[in-house]
Amino acid sequence: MSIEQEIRAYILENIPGAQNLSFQDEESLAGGGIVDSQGIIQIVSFVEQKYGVKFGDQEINEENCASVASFARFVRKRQTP
Amino acid sequence: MCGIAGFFNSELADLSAQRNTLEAMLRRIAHRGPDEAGIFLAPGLAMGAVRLSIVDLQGGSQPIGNETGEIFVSFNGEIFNHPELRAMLEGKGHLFSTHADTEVLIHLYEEYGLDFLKQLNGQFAFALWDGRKKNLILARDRPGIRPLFFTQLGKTFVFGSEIKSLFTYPQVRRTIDPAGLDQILTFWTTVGETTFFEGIHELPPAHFLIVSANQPPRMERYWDCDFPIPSTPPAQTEDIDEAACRLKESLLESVRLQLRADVPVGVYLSGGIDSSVITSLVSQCQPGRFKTFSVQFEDPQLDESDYQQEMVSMHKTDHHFIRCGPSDVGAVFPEIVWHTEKPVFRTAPGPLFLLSKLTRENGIKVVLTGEGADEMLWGYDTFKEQKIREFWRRFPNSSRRPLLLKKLFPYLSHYRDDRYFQLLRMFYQSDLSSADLRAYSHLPRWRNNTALKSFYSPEFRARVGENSSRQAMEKCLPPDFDRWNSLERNQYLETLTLMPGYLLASQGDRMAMAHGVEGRFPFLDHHVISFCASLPGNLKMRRLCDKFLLRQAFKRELPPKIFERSKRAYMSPDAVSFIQPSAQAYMEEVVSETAIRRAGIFDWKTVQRHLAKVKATPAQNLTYRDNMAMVVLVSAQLAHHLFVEKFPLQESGKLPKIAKEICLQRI
Repeated sequence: MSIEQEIRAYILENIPGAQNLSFQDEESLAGGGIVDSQGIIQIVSFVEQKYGVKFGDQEINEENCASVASFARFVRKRQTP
Repeated sequence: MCGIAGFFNSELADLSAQRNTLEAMLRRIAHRGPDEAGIFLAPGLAMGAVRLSIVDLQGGSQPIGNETGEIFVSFNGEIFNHPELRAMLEGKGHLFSTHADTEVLIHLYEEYGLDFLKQLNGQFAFALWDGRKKNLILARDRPGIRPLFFTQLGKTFVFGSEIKSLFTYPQVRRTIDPAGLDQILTFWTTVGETTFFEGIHELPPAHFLIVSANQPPRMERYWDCDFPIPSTPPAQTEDIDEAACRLKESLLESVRLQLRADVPVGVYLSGGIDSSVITSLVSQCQPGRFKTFSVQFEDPQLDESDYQQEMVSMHKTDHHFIRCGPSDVGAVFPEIVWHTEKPVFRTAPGPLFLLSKLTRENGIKVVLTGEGADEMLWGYDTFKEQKIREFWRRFPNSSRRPLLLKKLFPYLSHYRDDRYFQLLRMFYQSDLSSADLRAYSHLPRWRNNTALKSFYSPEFRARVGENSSRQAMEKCLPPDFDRWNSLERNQYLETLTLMPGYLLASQGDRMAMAHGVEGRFPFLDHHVISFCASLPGNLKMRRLCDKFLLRQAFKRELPPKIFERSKRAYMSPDAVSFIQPSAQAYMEEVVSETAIRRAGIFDWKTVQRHLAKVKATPAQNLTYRDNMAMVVLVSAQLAHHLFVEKFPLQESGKLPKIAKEICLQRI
């Protein structure tokens, strides 16, 4: 599975009701009402644990956390040596 | 305070059948009026009340009629200015046979016709029969404190204080209205006439309805909360003291009127500013010790007993409290839904149900409470949130003011945590560009609620069809709505949706009346409402200080601990309540795969996944949305179970003794 697929699977499994919504990887999770702010925090924790990356204080932001794709980009950026 | 019920169809002629049906309808709501019952029968018309005797205990039995026996009324509620109205009417030659506030309605109607509603200061729902015009008139108080429902079954018009009373009338259909549930999953309540059940209508607050044999029913609004146009200009610092003084006078007068009763009156003390203000005003108005009642929670995150104790010590009240945990809430939840008659999104009504039981056991059937202040004086976080969002909208790059966002929900840990600041910014910015300015204040909440609709089964989703909840709400907005400022619009939306539909109903009237306790709301006296609406916005929300004027007016009378505390929403243990042993039996019955499929509302796989998550996750790690989804699921399933599937058509409560009965051979 790609990182995108894994993050998507996590959302579908853990965010109430998300499994019945169709959303694109680039779609805004917040703007589309797919997750609430606590939901993003859950995804942040999942990503940190699963991929061994750490979000800095100013990094839980629009650039890194807006969508499935932006989470995945953040992971790849961190994993690149 | 009582419960009323009745029906009208000029073709009915069997008085004994009418009596049986009426008595069954009243038995169903006997909890609202355990003291006595009264019935009025005539061919084609039946109406009655179960009574909670509060004013003129001996002489106030219902139904009450006029001097000529042509006008009769079944009444639920209180008319607080009844002594003044009575004196005025006696001066005009009206003869009274009782000392009850109910009788004032009759003579006032004789004198002024339908305009009489404007003179009432009170909280009421009633049915008035005018035998001269052959009209049945139903009316409800301004904010929507007392409930009233109706349905049309062929030529028969059926009404009652609670929906369960209507369902007791033969052949009234009991099916869920998809549009009603869709509204609840948008606004947390139905709006306008819609209810959770198809064909069952609610008489909206501040409306009357005229029913006659030959014409279709006519419904009209007789009052509304108006804001000045243009908005009142901002107040200067030197105006504050005078405005605070006027607010205090207005509230003192309201409390003085609302203490009128022939039984002792108690106070619900939450520990917040509003109920503390009421407690302080009650102690000013009446000599002697009075009783206060509070909810305490096992969970320190929810508990406010420290604040309650401050007020108890200050005023030396005779204080009583219950202590609540998830197991208590889980145990009573089916009873809660039996009384709310619709799904709820929080379990917060539960502790209030237990509190009214305690209140009644302590010999109190009337309590004053602080609801309404957060709407009228802008106490809710949404008002602050809206100011911040509007600022951000105008100055998208400002880094200064958004820092205040952190202080917005201090009880949510991630709002305090610096780490998540950018995240909150992202959320609040996501709709900054929205062109939907009409309901700008409520968009984040409505959008978040809407996620719950993804629990619908495909069949139910098809029945809901094109989402029309927003249009239904828009239809209820007054013509001047767009001319008010955005915070005033925010208030109006609150008083249209959450206040009457949840706060005063599911969490208010229904929980108190479940044990025959009447709540009274000094902040919702219409003089107080109008005074607050006339105030400049900067006296209600000054910078980001909520209920600024109330704080100014009472700063010397409240303990500093209460005066300085930040606002906290009243919450009770949510999803965790349903995984307690006390909830197990009904959870297995109503949230099982077969029950979910039978009800047809939700998709079993989605429900199953969520149940598993709630069971596997420690309560403190469940999100706001996780909790809300669980409470909505369980309450919707219970509502279906209790009212659609297993409604007890035969058995019901015991009718209190019939203290008065009027039977006419013709109308």
